[in-house]
Amino acid sequence: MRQRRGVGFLALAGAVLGLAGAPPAAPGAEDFPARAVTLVIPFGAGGSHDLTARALSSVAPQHLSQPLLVQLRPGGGGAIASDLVAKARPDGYILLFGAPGPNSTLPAVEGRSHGPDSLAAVAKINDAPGLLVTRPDRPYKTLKELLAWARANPGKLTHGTTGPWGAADVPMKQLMKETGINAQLVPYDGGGPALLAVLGGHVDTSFLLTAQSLPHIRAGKLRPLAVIGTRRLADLPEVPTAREEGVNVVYVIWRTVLAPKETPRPVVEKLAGAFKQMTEDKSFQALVKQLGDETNYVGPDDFAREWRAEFEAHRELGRLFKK
Amino acid sequence: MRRDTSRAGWLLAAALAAGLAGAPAYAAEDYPTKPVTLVIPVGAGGSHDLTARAMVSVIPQYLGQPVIIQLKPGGGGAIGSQQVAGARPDGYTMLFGGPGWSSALPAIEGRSVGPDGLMAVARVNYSPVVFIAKPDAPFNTLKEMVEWAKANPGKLVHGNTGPWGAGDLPMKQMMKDYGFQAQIVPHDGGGPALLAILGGHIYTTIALTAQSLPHVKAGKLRAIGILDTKRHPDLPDVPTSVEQGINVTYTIWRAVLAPKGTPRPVIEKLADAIKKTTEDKSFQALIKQMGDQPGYAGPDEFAGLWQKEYDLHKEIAKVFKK
Repeated sequence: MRQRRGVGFLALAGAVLGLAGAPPAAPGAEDFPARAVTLVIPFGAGGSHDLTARALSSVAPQHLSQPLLVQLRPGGGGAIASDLVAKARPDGYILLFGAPGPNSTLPAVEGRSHGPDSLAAVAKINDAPGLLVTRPDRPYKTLKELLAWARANPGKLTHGTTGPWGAADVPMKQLMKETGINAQLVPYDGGGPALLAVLGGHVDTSFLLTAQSLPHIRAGKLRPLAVIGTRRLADLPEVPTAREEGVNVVYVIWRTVLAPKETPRPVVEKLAGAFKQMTEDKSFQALVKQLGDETNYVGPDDFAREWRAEFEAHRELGRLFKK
Repeated sequence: MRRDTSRAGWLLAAALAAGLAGAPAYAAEDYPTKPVTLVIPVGAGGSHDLTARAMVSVIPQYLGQPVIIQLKPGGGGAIGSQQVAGARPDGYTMLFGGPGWSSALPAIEGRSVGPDGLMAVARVNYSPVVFIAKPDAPFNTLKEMVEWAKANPGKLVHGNTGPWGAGDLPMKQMMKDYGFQAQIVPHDGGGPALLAILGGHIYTTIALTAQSLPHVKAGKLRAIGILDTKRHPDLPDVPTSVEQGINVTYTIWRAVLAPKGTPRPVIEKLADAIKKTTEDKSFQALIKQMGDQPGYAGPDEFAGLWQKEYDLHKEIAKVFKK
């Protein structure tokens, strides 16, 4: 009788903890997660990291067997949230929705925030490549023509950025380093003003997000020169990547789940498996499509390699361009 | 000692079991003490699913507990609706209602569940629909359409998006209230109806604004009236039906509904959390990406709107059903 009660209790506890749909347990992580997991967003409400995280959160219970709670912690270009997670208990319950700014460029160039030395890769959810754009009245129609023009007119090319070491600045520095051209980097206060500067002819070029530039490209007011990612865009299939044009520059706004460095491997694997399932969820994919993005999951080891390479590349850029 | 351990274990199990089954109704001031389930009675990826996902991604900070989505498609939404109507009215099982499965089906076909078997918590938002005509139609407004149809009996060919749906009910209501005849040609959803009007096979149809907008802007379709009480921000020049003196409105609404008998304090706590969610910046950004706007309506206001719609559909069915 007493034994039967024991069995009943175990079954009940199992029903409470092991909800359906959980990925197979990695050894050493059988009980994980036993409660809600928090995903810290290093930027403000309504941005692409926030909205992508909301899409994850809305499908998470089915795949993680626990809720995924989104917590906004903007500030310091993402350094505040990165610091919070890097110093949190490495038990898998506090995660960061990382980005190239706070988690590659800032630590590599300025030695603040946190990179791959103090955070661990869990799962890349997706990324958005930048697009090199110019005004249609400029004399260059391709990246190759732009480079030729810049070489023939040294010091003349002006390029609008969203601030030093931001998403429009780093890839131009990479381009300068790779090709030897020179450009005057003109900082603007965000992507909106940088877009206006190109549209108004105040600068020759900028790197912009596709969603932001697409309406202007379709209206014939912007000319796309190259995608600064690893693949062409579904919305602009005729625009080649920089690599296709012979220039080895890649810069994408990645959205990757990161964890405190010492998080146990079985926990990381279990989380990665759950995030992979989320990216395959039909509702998640529909939401991400509404955001103008695609999903492209990358697991912990592959992303760790990509991340490390990017971090080192930014470190080199920092040495080259920082006075 | 052994007995104590076993007893403690049993008590813990009993406590867990109570927790699973839901807190008793008198504990409404503690509500919610565990996650709330929201049943979506239609498939993944549709506008009800995605709007609910936007809501649940934001609501935990206002409700104090997560809301977990459960997809239960089937029977045009009847299966999920019946499941929630039969659940314990303790605030832990909710339905994401819509005009099809929560008004039209119960009012017209006597299946699924309407305001008799469920109660309103709050409307999250709605999508307005627009009355559209082919560009060479001999009328430019809804009012002119009604006059033309009266002068040319039986000539107006209207394509619906399925019987008793958004493309059908408002037209039937208009025929009933304004006394004209039209041939209603059934189409299997909004996509086929749109193709039919673009191909010039029908004079009119009713579509979601977001869906028809590109064609209207390109001049391939003519928007002759928004079936709402206010104009649409993307079509500011198109007057509403009400402005034209045609008192017919229809919206694709999305609202949280609860089993009948759910205590008022529980309803109010949920409604308050939903209201704060619809005011949240992240939620608003997500809804905007879907081409929609928030449109919160509280439990009493929405119960009134819902009942009115339900009664109206019943009346239309009496006139048109054989």
